[in-house]
Amino acid sequence: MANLPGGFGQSYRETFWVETGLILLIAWGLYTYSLQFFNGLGVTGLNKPVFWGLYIANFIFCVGLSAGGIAVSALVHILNKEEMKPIAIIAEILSISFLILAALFIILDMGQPTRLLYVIWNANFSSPLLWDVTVINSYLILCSALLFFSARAQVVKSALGHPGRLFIVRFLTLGYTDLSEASLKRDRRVLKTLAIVSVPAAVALHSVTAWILGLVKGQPGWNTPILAPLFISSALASGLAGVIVAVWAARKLFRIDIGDKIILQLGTFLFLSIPVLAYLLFTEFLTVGYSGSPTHIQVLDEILWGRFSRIFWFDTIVGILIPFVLLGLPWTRTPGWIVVASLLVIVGVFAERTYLLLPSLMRGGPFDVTTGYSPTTIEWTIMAAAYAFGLLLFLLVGKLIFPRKTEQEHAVPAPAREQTRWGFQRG
Amino acid sequence: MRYGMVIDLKKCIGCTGCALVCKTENATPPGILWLRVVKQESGKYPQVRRVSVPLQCMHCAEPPCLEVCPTGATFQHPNGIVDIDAEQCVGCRYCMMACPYDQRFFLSAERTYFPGHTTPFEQAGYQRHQAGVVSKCNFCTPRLNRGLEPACVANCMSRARTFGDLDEPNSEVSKLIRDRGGYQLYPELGTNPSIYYLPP
Repeated sequence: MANLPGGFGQSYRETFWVETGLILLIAWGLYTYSLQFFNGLGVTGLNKPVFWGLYIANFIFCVGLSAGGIAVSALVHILNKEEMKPIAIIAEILSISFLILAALFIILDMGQPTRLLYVIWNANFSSPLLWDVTVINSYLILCSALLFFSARAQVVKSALGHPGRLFIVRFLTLGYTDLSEASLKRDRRVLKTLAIVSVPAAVALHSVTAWILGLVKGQPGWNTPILAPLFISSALASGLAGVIVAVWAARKLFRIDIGDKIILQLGTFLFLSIPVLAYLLFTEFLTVGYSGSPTHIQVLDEILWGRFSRIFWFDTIVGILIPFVLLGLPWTRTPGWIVVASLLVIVGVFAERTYLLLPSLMRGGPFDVTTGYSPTTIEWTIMAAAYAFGLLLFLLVGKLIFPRKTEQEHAVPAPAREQTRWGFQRG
Repeated sequence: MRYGMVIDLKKCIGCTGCALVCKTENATPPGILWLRVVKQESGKYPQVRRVSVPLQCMHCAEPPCLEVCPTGATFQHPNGIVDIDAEQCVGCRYCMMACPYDQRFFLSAERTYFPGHTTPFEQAGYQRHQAGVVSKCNFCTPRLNRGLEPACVANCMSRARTFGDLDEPNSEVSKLIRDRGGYQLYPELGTNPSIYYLPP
């Protein structure tokens, strides 16, 4: 364990300043949100006809990352590879954090957030938005179940010989602290079933999110059957990239024994997912450019050469081409470069969400003169604070599941620890 | 029974009086225009003409906004009028995305026409509007309940607007649509609007 790259100190003291920073950012965001809450959405840059903006783009992005993250965890559980189990746990924490963020962005975007529960009381099931509420909630339950069963044994083991941790462990595992071989076997069986269910659920989650846009016949830029597959492929790319970054950060922060090989493997998957995304984008744009209706072509022109050209070409070069080359070339197949490529993919997918969402609204239509849309500082601040909240959630849940060792445990010789089944230090 | 309106573009002189009377009747806050008149040009030089097209909620028979509303705040009266229950609206603005005619408006913040000052007219009228919800034309339902025509119809100085029952074959609107070739906007979307235009 001592030879882990960038190993931190003995306790979680070093994340104290990170957490303080995040909490300060969240507090600032809460104050900014109070401005929006009491003064209305007029403090944002939203204006007719562009009434969906940065919050909705973030919502789609977070849902995508969540769906892609759970795909990684499902893969691990179905293949049942022991050495990849910690990755599944990290992917599940990431998915849950981003799913909560997605729901948060919807609430931030609402004109009347106090009426949130009306969506359940007065549900109108012909609305794709309600399908999304249903699927997000079911998915959150599914993700939590996955995380519970894959992290339970690990949490219990970390508390062995630590009476102080017993209370929190009882709370986290809901009293299910059995570590016998039979119960572990049952865990694995349940996990496999949940993992098989979670694949179609992840597809449903992001397809329904795509259909919120894709089923609207009044918006030519959204109303395309390929939108759902396109969103799924971007979700997979951003999810894989997110897991890679999270795994890389977690092995430093939580000091989990994860080899470079696993990051290289995930990098290969990411390498394969990028051309699919590029291909679907190309298909969509070729079909529209060659045979689309005039309004549809107007939206495409806006993306390729108009106000969104900078975002589009940035995504094409920085979000698709450069990561593809970085992941493909043999001499950049190192964990460091793969993390760089993953970060670029994440930024690229976020850019993609904005240029698929906004140009259709900003085209103005035959009756509306558009003044365009640029997010205000308030929107950027609230967005940053929301992500700070997501990161804090990831950090805190991760710390609960991977608690730090005490000093005397670190004195135990390394080989004895490496023989544990989970690949973690036995606590 | 399905209320509808016929707007004769040949008679419309583009005075925007209907937009003005709509604002006075409904006391809509700044930036909210339930009724607008857009000016369009058609033809090529030297045969060019300028056409004024009054626009408001089309009260579609198959309203896309009603389908996508998550809470059912948008609803349809038995007489065909599409209306919004402001108390049920959560302000998600999905209906604005779904409306192909751009005729829905979101009041993003409480504003007055004169900064720092609310006129007695605004004080009385703004009680009918709340911030954070979507609103739109409702064919002046309060006036209809009193047996009056919508304000824009009653106040049109060139009598370009006719209001009536589209289901009744002998009503004035049905006759006008039949005889003068009335058309709807974006018929290809299948929304079946209740506002018909007569060609200029």
